[in-house]
Amino acid sequence: MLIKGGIVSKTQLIFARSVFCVASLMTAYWSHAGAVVVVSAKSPVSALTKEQSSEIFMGKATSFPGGGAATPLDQPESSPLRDEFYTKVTGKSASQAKSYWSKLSFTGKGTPPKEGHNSADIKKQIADNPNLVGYIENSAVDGSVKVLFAVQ
Amino acid sequence: MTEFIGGNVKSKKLVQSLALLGALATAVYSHAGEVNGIDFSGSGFLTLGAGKMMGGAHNNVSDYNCPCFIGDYAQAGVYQGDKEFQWKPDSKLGVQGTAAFDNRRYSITAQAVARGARDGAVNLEWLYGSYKLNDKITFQAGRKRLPMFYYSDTQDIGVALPWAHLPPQLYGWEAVNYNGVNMMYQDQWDGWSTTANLLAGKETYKDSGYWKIYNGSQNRTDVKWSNILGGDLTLSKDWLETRLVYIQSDTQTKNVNGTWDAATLSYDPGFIETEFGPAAKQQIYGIAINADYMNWLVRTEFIHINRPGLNFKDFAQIVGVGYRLGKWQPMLTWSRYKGTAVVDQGGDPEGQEGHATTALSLRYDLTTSSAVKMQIDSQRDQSGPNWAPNYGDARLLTFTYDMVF
Repeated sequence: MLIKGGIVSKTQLIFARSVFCVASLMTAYWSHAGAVVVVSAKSPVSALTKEQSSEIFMGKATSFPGGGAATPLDQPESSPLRDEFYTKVTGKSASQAKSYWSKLSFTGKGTPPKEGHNSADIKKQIADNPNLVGYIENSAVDGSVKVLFAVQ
Repeated sequence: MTEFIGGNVKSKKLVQSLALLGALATAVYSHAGEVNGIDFSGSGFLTLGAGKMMGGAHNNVSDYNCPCFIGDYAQAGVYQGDKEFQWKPDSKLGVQGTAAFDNRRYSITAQAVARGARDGAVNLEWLYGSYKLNDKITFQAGRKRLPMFYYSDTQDIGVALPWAHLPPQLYGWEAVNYNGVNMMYQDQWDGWSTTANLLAGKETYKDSGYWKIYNGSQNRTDVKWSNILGGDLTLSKDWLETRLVYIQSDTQTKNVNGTWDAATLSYDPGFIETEFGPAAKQQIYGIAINADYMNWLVRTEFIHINRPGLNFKDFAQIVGVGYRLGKWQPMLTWSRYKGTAVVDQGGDPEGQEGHATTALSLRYDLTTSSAVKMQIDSQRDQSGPNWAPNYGDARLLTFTYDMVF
């Protein structure tokens, strides 16, 4: 780390190395664990909370907090990411979420999110449509999409 | 029970109906997609149930061979006898197709269901058009479910239920659909998800399952509900959900082919079809308070039906508590129906129907779209000594496999 005059103290060097080390560990952690909620890189939306993500995927909100239609795109039922996402974000298991949507869809009160084939397909659809919002593995994130919320 | 009467012919018809509906389901499911700007989607549900009476009062009630447990009043789904597993009362297959256009602003939805309790006859249960005025208001017109109860809309969707079958003490009535219009309002009120619904319509139900329970399995009674007006309000926040409902209507019945005669052990061959009787007004009041807190689920519901001018009133309630253990969900539910005499109108306090059931259920989620359940129902008769027909005590063991697709 550089300071005025280009002199680096020993303490500052240790601090900088520590920051680098922690950042590297965090990067390694996020690249291997967890789902992230993403939108198109072209979207003006910059962040979502867990509650806002839940409301969109449970059909209780149809627009982003700052405006603009929000259309959720789900992982396929066979994806373990789907169970993790619903359990951690909505507080319901994927089975409970399915029951919830069955209740709405068979009674004309709502339509469940459409499903992508996999994370690559979801990312491709989202990249082209700023209204879509989905969740993928953190390791699948690239420049075509923007992370709004990291599922923990 | 229908399987004891012309069993082979009816079983063949049932298999044919299920095959037809299965083919329809496949066609609907495989043709989902967008064509010429119209978004087609198809889905469906299946329940395969098998139940066996484990004991109870051994007395014949009309032409039912008891002990009997009434799993579904509206469809005359009756488990009876005590020797064999029976699969008709709770088994059903339904398909639903929706065509939506103009970004889902307009849609048409149809749902057909084949039931074992009706020997596989395919009935169009829902057929309605929707117009979404905006994100909050939707108008619908056509044939829909009458929303008397919390689970009315989803009473056929086994995956959406914690039980093998709905508690019959509460969920047992003569009309379950109506033809009419409704306006639905969905919004967020200070953090509460709100759904309000106003409806108006009428229903003529030929060959009511409900009246077979009281008049005999081969009886045909037609039911007419007219001037149906009502509304329901559902408020939910976090783990709590409450629902209020009020519906009023005029109600009439007519007997088409006579009732079972216990003296001659037959239906009256000389019976002449009646006309619809004079209309009686009825007012339905209901409340449900449900909770899904942490791993606990609590279901409570109460309904009261008042018919000014008649000599009895209806009260029914359920209380159920369950606990989620991963994919397992045990639940204990108590339900009760009690008719109360209006003595001023000539009602007999000793002649009222009453019964209560304790049900122990165990659900296991096979996948996100399917579950298996086991349930033990123990029903205690609480009717007055002058009440007839009296089904008495009954114990039932049921297994179901439920799925949506």
